[in-house]
Amino acid sequence: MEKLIEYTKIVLKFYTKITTAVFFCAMIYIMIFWGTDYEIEIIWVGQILFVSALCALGIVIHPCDDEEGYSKKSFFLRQLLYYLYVNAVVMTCGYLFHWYYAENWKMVLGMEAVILAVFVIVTLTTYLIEYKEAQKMNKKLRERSKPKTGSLI
Amino acid sequence: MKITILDLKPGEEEELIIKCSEISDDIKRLLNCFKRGNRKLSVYKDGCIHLIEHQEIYYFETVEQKVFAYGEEAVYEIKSKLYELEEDLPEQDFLRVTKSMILNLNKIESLAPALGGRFEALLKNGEKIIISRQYVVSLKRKLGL
Repeated sequence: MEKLIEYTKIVLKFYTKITTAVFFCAMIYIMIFWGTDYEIEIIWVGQILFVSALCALGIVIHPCDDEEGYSKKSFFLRQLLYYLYVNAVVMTCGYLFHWYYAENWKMVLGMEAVILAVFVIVTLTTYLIEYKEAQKMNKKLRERSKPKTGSLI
Repeated sequence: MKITILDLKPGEEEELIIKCSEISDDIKRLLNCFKRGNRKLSVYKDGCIHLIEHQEIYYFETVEQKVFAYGEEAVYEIKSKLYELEEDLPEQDFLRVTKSMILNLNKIESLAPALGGRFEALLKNGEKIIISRQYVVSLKRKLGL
């Protein structure tokens, strides 16, 4: 149960990152392809949240616990699969929600650029957050190893 | 810290009383010492039994259902199960970092992010250990984050 809660937290954190990045990239996409004065319908917000949720669920491709053989190679392979999954989800949903026209190659390319941008932003943000966490932990480790004056043992 | 030792009255039982505002790491260590006594780890190497301090061990690992203790250079076999060791070792110093490994926090030189939410611990003997994503939360908690 604890494991499930922990995993749900990971998915929710990931969802927040994806949604934030998607909103920024969608804003740029809309400005380029639909014009700066285009008024988006509230349903678009719902659609973005829905697609982001589907993308966040894809993280289950990475194991929660230390699976045997979870090497760098395995990680990159899973990342590639995840990227293909995100592509399939966004392009299918985007087509159904009329975010782009399939016959307009510029729009298709724009969608691909948005997917890639979100992917890179989320990956980089995740790494930076973890890097900061590592620094905090290193600081605590250094404090821990300092000899204490008047230590009992 | 003030240390007071009182004489026992006839028939009185020996007692250790600790007066403190909070249970600090030092007090935990002290209590642990009293609980464990002078118990050392019994480890096996080349058919001989050795008694070593747990602080000499960098990490414990299960490999093919056998538990090994890794010192700075030497590797010993241990007859206890990993979960038994987990209960027995001082909890402020040792932490389960993967399903098959318990790490001595005092032997970590530094931590760096690894891939997929995991962290890599560089140990003081130059070895690198992966900390699984599911145990990162306990590590942070143990470090007071």
